[in-house]
Amino acid sequence: MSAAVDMNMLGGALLRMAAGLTLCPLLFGVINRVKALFAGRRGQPLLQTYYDLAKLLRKGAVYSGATSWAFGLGPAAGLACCLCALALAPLGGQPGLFSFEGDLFLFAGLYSLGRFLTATAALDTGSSFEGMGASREMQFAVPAELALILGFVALAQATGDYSLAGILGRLDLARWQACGPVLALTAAALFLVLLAETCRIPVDDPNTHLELTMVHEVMVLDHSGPDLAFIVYGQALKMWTLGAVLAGLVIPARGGEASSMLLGAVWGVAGIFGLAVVIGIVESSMARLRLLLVPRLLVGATALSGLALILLLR
Amino acid sequence: MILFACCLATFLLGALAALLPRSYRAASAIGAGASVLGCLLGLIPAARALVEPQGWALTLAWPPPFGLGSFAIDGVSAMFLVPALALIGLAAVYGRGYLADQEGRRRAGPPWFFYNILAAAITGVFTARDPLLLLLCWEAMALSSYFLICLEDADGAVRRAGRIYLVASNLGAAFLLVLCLLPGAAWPPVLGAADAGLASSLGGMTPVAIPAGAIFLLALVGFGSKAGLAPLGVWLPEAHPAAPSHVSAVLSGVMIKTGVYGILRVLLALPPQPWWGWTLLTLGGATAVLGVAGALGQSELKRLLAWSSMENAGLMLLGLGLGALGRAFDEPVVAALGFGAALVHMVNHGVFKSLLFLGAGSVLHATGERRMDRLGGVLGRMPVTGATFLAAALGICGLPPLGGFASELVLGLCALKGLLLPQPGLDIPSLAALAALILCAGMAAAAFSGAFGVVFLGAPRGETAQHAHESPRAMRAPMLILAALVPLLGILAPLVLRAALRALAPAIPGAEALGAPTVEALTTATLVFGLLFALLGGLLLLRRALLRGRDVRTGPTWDCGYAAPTARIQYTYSSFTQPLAEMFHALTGPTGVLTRPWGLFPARAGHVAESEDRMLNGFLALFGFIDAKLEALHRLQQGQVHVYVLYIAATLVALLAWGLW
Repeated sequence: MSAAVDMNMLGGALLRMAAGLTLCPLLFGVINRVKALFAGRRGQPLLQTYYDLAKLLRKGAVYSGATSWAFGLGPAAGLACCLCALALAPLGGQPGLFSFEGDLFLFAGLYSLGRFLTATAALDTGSSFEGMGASREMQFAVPAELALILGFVALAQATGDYSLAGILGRLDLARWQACGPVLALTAAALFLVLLAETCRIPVDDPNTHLELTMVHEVMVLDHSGPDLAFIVYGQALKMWTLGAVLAGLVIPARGGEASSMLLGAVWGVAGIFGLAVVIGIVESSMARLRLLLVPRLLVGATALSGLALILLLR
Repeated sequence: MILFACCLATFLLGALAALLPRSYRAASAIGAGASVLGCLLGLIPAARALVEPQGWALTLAWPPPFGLGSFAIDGVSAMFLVPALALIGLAAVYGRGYLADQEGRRRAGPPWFFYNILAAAITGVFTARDPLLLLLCWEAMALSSYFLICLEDADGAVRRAGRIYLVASNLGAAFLLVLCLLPGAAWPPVLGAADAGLASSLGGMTPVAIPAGAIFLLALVGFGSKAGLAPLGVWLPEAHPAAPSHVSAVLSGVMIKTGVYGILRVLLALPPQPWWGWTLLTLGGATAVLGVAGALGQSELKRLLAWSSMENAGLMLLGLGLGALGRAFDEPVVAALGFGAALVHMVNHGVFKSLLFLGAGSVLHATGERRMDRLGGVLGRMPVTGATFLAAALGICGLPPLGGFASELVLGLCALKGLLLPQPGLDIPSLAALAALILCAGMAAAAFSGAFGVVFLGAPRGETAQHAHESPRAMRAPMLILAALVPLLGILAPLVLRAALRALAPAIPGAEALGAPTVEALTTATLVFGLLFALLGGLLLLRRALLRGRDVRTGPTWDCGYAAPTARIQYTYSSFTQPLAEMFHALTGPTGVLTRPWGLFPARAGHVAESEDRMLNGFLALFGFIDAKLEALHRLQQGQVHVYVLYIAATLVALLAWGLW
């Protein structure tokens, strides 16, 4: 591979990352707009999350007297993990900044790290509510992580590649025709994981006002100012990144040349926003599940991934 | 190699010298000093053997009989020996500080005598090239560690733990005894050197052909009981918390690896059958899941760490199982990566787990409190202990960018490759190993985020936690060194894996080339690690810059408007892990006993949450059953002399009758 092509690849990956970094807060706007449409309201501006982030970044902060440096580590580490995961994620069949065999484990591991440090930051406040949220988050993560990785492994098995970029790069129309049911099962599992990881209905309700029923929101109750901005932006990035992977799986538009590189990226971005619309529809059409049912839903997602894998075993 | 002989001699002489002085300080200085010096001496030849794949053997001018002088270090020995010696040395430095407050209560000589014997024995186990010598070192290791576990022998619980350890250890050694006394023909290939010593010592015995499967099973039980393999590892959650913390660190960080070492040796020497791999995978997966589920149900920090050791031993066995399957099905990629993953995880786990035990010991030393739910907020008072504990906790959960992630990545990739290979019989085991690995990683993250959060963060839950103080420098320094190793092992993971593959190359031809793509993957992963560190640092700086000059206030934690919160209402470890423990309660047993308020004027109500150790209870029931059955023999043993005379007379008559026949 010549250096010029290499530079092209690098430039493309950086451009795709930049798209994610700038566009991800828009996802919340789209979701809220869809929900408003369903409820017959006018809804908040599409760019509301940008305004919120700008406001939070300009604010001071209040820290609880019980907290230590572990409290401040949580949001920064969480965002850093989401940024690194973005660097690994392919968009529209095109590789991310880094790609290597087994990067799917790193992809999942980065989110685990962010979750671990967010949970310890929550425990640092000494609040029983935040401890409760952290406990639930760590519980839900066990089946969700299993479903995510087994889903990736099913895709690896279906395409015969070991890296995220390689897997998603090979998922074209022919592959869908060859093993459609497997890919559909995996897509369903990954969609459930996405809902859980990004704290949406039916796993968690981002708009709830009762601490007892919150999961992720209650963990971050005590964060304020720039810390909260990191958390909100990290959530948006996480939705973008997981959405990019899912869109890459569902929309099998692929091509090798430079023109179709752009096409793939456009399809990828369109897929992510389409996903936001779907999330909005899901959130408008159902209530969140009872807390005790959430693990069952996620174990169900694991079962879907497992089923996809079993279909692939001869 | 003269340095290696010096290392063993330093340990043994140091052990004796520590007994001599009357002064407590002199004895502990000699004992700890000898350990450190011996480890440093031993590290040089061990590290050299890592670089030179062929290794070397100790040659003596007058070799002692029965092969008792046949030590050698090859790549596999060196992979185990380097971390072992480093950890033993660091734990010795820590131990001197840890035991300093015992002055006047007991003599310093005996603990340091046994510590040095343990160091020599472990070194011997990893380097012995003769079955009899191996057995000797093995028993020395078991006995010296027993005496170290029972250091606090005034406590009944400690004596009980020691007894359980001794029984489990002896039962395991019984299988090894059979294994080691097998006719010599079976052994030399396992330990890598032919030695006629044992064969001649057994004299007229005719060699019998032993089926390889029998050797494997004997090794699995004998070595597996030391490695903490379920259900044989029942001693682990008992003995580790009872021992002084620097000894727990050595037991968990080093000694349980001797079991892994033994099984690995057998798998590399003999041609494995597929069922060996399936057995190892089943037992390894069961051990890992049981271990981490047990960790969720604990209330004491050191006990939690012991259960987690069991989990990690299970993960190593998963690697060994995949490797064995790879060898059995002639898929060298899976073999190299499986064994390689076990070796890399062995190194990583040694560092993390020792550090965690040292940290737990530091907390225990400062507060005297074992129960997590009575601690809290210790981080502010013990910054070094807290920060190093966090590093180790992140490492042991297999989170990037630390060493633990590297070993999970290698194991995961090995399973993924096994799954994708067109080899029937390899796909389902690989899938099961992968699922067990991911499940354990998630559960370990829940256990350790809870443990760190409850012990070190939040508000102090009681008096003891309020008066915590940082440990002395002798204890802090080893923790800091180990904590520095945690991210370093993440960044140097490609080198560790390459060393492991080089060590395996004699048994698996071309291991290095086969593992090269994985080494490359780890190298790329370190780039992401670098990015992660840079982003984290950048974001923390950004936050500081943004908040400079702004209104930054300290207030109370948001308490939902409740007017009088106390530290007691914080989430405890048992409440934190309750939802997950509930999901696995079939494995860990009932978790709660509820006392309901009763009567017209109810006075008290309560809830005790405790998980039972079903494996230990199972063994106790089994032994109780055997005991009851053997009770029947008491009818023969009357204790009355005339009955015994009757036995003798009856025997004589019977023999006479037999002779005359």
